[in-house]
Amino acid sequence: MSKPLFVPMWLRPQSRSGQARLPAGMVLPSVLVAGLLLLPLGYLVFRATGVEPHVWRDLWSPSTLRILGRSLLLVIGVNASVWLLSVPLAWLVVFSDLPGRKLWTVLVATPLVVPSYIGAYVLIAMYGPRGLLQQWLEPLGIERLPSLYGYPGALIAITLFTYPYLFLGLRSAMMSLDQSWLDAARTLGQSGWKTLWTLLLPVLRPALAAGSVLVSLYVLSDFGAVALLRYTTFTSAIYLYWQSSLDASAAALLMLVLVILTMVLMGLEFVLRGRARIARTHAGTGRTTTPVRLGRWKYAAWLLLGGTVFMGMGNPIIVSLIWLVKGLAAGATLQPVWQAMGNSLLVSLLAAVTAVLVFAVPTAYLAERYRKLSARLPARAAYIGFGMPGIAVALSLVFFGARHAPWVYQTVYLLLLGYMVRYASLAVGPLRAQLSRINPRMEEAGRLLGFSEIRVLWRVTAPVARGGLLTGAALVFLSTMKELPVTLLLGPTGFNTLATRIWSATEEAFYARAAAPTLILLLVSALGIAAIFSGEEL
Amino acid sequence: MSGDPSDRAVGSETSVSPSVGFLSIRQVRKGFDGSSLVRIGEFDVMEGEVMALLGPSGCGKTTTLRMVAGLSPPETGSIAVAGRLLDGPGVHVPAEQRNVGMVFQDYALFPHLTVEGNICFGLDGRSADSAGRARAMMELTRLTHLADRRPAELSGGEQQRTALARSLAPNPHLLLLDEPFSSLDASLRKDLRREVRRILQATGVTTILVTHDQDEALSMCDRLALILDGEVQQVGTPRELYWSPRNENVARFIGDVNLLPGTADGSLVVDSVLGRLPVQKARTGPVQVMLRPESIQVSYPEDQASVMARVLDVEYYGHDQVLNVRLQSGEELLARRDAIQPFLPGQTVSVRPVGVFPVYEANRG
Repeated sequence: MSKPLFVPMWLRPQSRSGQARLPAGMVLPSVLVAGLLLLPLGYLVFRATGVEPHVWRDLWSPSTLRILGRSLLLVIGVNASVWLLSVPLAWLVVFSDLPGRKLWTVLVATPLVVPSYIGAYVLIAMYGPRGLLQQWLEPLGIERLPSLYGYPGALIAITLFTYPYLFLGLRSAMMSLDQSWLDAARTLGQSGWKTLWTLLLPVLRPALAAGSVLVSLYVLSDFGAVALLRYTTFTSAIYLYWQSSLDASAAALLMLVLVILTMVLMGLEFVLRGRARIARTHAGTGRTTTPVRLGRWKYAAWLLLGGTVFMGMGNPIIVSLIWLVKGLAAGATLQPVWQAMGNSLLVSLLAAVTAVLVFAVPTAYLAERYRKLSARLPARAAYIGFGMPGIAVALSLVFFGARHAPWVYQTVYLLLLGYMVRYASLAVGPLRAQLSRINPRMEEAGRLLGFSEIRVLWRVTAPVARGGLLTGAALVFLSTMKELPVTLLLGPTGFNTLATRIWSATEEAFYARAAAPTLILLLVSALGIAAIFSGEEL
Repeated sequence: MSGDPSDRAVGSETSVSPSVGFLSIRQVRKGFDGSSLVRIGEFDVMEGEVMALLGPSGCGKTTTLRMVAGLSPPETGSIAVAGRLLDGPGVHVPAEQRNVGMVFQDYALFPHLTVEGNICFGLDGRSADSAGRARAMMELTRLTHLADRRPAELSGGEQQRTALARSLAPNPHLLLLDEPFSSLDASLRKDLRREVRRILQATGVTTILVTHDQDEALSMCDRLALILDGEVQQVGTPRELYWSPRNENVARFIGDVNLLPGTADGSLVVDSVLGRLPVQKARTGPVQVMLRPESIQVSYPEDQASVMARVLDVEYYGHDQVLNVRLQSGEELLARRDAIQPFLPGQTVSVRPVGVFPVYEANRG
């Protein structure tokens, strides 16, 4: 018998090497969806390679460099302010004798659920022209407030919703510090400050690095805040290019640069996260640190904690409540809000269900049960989509849809794909964590009882991993609900969600119209996060 | 016992030549991928028998079981059950099409289903009367009163019976038990062994039981195969393996041994310090004779016709006792005796070997 010299592993009828072959019924949906998830990136690269040479030269044009400079300036500024805020906050909730440190931890972390465009809306509706403060001060003869637009506004808005990432990382790193280490250092004759530098810093460094990278990633990817506050970074410039119908290739090029930057940060974050985990050998349990007595400093501590929570969480609620009342008093109707809420719930639910059932289940199963590289590729592909800025995902799909797939362009399907690219990865993580805790013998028992691997997955694994499925679905649901750029660019004409309503109302300075959607989004987010956390503790 | 719940549709499909077992493994090899190395030249299990795979952990017995189940295909060789080739050149029947049942070490019950749900799981769409079959299995395993419980609400023994009922329900050709008693309390094991033995006898299913516990293998199985270092050392009845182990390693793994040097002259008798010992095999030159503690009779008062020894130590077990005695020639021997007569260290006793003993070449000092 003549044999071909080389038959690829996956083409062989049956592997006799003793290695189990990946089940086709799971590989198929997983790889298909993963391929779709890579479509925006792939199309972007494809478009960028097809541009005229002069566009490449434009890459080094003053306008591009200006955008790059402004983006970096914002990254640096936000990082600095996030450090200034998070380090003392984390220190206070871990080491100080402040009462109610657990409650403070939760409160300080909650701005995590506030989308950046809501942060921007609140700033504008409060401190901007025609904002609340202006209205209150007008009787006193103050006609103009210092302008909020541009750098300062973007800096404040983004700092307020990104600092919790660093805060949480620092907190768990600090919790891992053993009192015995600190004591040991003191007995060796070190002074307090020296202790801090020689002991604290090396342990906290991974958390600081990972947190900063994460914050930088969010700054570069953020669209809502910079666009509303009119500070031109990559994302807002890309949006402007598209809106003014300028050269699409130029927008593609900007997007490519942005995506490369974020991918580098993603890679860095991946590496740093691994290190941070190694550094945290002691779980935070059984911490016996004696609290540092604050004395008179406690008033400053109260001020810092209270001020942060007020700006991050109190302000959005109060400002939108006031505008809601103002709007209702002026005779505004809530009818369009209900419609937008219905749309939001519908697309978020669709995205969550699709992400979990079609993609996350087979993908997590493959990655967890066949621990080889090829089985993990779909999960990695989803992670890449997660790292792409929303505006890049959205615009890339707009270009693709308009040119190559007019039958899905401006339909809910393309919108759904956009959400999947951004958030399918969120559904994989919790499921993988849960699968790793499920006894694989149970699946084998199912197979020996006559069920194929796929049927076992649906009849045994999925029901047992219910918690992971729900957590994943909730994460996708909440993220989709808050998503702005994808909804804005890919939604069918006239398709309103809570997010796009807040966006358009703020842009057009109808602050009262944005109030109800803001409150609903904040409420749903808070409830969702609370549900996820309580579910995980069970 | 006439509790056989259903007719066995096996064996009639294909005629199996009498020399080949109901399960037959030929020239199977596995272990290049890092699992413990297994090489099995020829291994057969007859229809209806309970076979134990006995060996220390890491010897490859679980790997063998998983190959038979189809959970981890062999690299070379063939496996056939009931005359049907399951693994062979270009053939690999997936686990779900083999009709082989398995009880896992940790039972691997489905936590989201009740006892009844677990037992019914494998019955879906197979027989019209799956509810009746499930009821019969629960009756057989005495689980009827627990039908609506979840696995988390069951004791270890109940979980085990549920796992057994679940794998027996689809009427498998072959039942595989992977260390089924290892996660249970030692005090419970004896009763549960008896219970499982009863259930297996009632169904008449061909069974392979993997264990590292020699008592389990000896007491529960019709035959057993001792596996050391990935190779089958000997297959036989419990009696054969205990009294006629093929080599010293087999002898040492199952029970206690006394090895006595001797000189053979080509006949079935060997000269030793205990006198002329009848042996199972004719050899010549220096040899080792293997005597189990049970075949050394210790008596007091001394019997002048026998060899004299001094008691060094007594291990009293209640049901019997093991004496460590030293012969005048200096050899130490273990001897088991009934528990009634008391012995004390220092006491002089007489020692008499009883039986026909296995004999090995004296290859090492």
